[in-house]
Amino acid sequence: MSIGADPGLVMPMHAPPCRSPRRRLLRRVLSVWLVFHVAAIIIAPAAVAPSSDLIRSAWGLFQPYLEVLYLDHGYHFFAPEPAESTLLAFVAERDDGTTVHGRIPDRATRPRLLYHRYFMLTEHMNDAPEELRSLWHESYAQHIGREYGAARVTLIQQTHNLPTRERVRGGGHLTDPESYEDQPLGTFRCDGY
Amino acid sequence: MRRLLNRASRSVTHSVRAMEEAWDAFWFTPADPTLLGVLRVLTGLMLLYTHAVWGLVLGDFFGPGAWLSERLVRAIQDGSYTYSFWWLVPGQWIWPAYGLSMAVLALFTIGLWTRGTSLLALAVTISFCHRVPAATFGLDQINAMLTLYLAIGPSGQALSVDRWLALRRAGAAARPSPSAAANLALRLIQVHMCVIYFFAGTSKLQGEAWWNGEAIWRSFANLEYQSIDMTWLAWHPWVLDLLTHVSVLWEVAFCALIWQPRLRPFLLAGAVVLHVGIGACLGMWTFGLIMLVGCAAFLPNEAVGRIVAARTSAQGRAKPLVMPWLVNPHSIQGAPRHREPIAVRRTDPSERADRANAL
Repeated sequence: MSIGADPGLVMPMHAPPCRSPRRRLLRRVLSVWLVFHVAAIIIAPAAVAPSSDLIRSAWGLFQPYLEVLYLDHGYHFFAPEPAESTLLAFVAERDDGTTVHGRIPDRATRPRLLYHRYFMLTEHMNDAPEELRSLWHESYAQHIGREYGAARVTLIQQTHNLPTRERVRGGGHLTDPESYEDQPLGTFRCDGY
Repeated sequence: MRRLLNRASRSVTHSVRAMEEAWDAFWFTPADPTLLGVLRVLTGLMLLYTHAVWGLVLGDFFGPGAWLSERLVRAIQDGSYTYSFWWLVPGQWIWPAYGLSMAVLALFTIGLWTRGTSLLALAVTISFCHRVPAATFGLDQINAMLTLYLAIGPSGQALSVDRWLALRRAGAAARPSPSAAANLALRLIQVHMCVIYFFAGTSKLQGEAWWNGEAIWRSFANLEYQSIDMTWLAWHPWVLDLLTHVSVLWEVAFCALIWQPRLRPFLLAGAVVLHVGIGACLGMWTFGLIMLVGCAAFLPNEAVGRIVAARTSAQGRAKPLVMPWLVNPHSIQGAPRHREPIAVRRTDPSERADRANAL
């Protein structure tokens, strides 16, 4: 396989030979950077757990470069397997006793990209490291309190379990109430509303 | 003994030289920048849409009291090498900062002062992502990746206001000259797309559902992703199994097979089916489309250049257009083995002169 001479992708000819020393030096420098760059973009997804000590050490070398350029991604789309969704239900209580009930993401949100932004907020919350969870919940609660002018916000994490094929064939629906599992996250006092 | 050593030494030297030539040919062979210009326009449009949608909820995500507080984001990014201009923008200045960002993205899309605006577009894209790390997904990753490589290559040399101004000022050739930098940028996109698909595929091999055929069902049965109800496939399990296996196989094989000219159209057709499917069934049109923009880097550069030139040039004489994957891949000089004209275009003499210089 000769990919360097593939006429489908580039002009059908060789790279012209470098006659001037300056151009030759530039090509050498670029080649060194290319080796570094290609290694970096391979190490980024390879370093996602489970990964070896060797790859994790290499990640340490490439980390600044990858993070500055926003190339530090695993590309593990729907992997290791498509999982159940996480939603965030909330009850915002105002000082006058009125309450607002809501849930994100809301399937009525348009455009769809905006819906996905909210969906990512809850999905990332579910994946948050243990030490950041309370700060995460606090941040969302403060925003909801501010949004609805509420003094107290109660958060409930909902896991929407996926039905099996057999269940759907037996008459089950994706919206069946028993497919949702609630996990209270606490009630938060909101100061900034 | 000495003769044997000499022969071995010559063989090693020959191999190293051959590798060096192949490396140079792969990365530094001059290429027509037109395809890069097409990718710039498509990526720019996606950047404009992505950031226009942020504008609908700017205060909620970038203002004071945002969903992701500064304290939370700083904690998430602790020890990371991240930056965002949003940390410097006071609450009352978020709209002017946003307007300026949109202006940069618009200039990049139309290709005005592209050298500078491509770098600024990259800084804008990364700044938005780093301010709201928990609201981003694959779309943002591919947006930034493409913008980076479009900033590295001469993406403003075709289909741009810069090009139009150059034509007006100096009466340059209708088609831009091939350049090694254009090839470098296209190659970087191609290689990165291979890395993405390879890890997207191999990471799935860790999950049982991608082996037992359940994975596609689990995607369709996820109400939060669903935009078309595909649960009727529960009565056709073999279709779900087949889709699951083909998806993984296609992703894992992409990085090896895409370089084969004869297989490339099938791989790219597979990409269209996969990403249009993701867009239609899982509601992620933006992600699906930007992945297809990345895949477009594998389109036949020459053919794209000719199509664009035919559409932008009104003068000249007819010339047959050849799809390059029908050309003998072993012919370095591009001597065709099968030539099948599929369209007729008109070219102007200055363009022919330009091409003659390049070859």
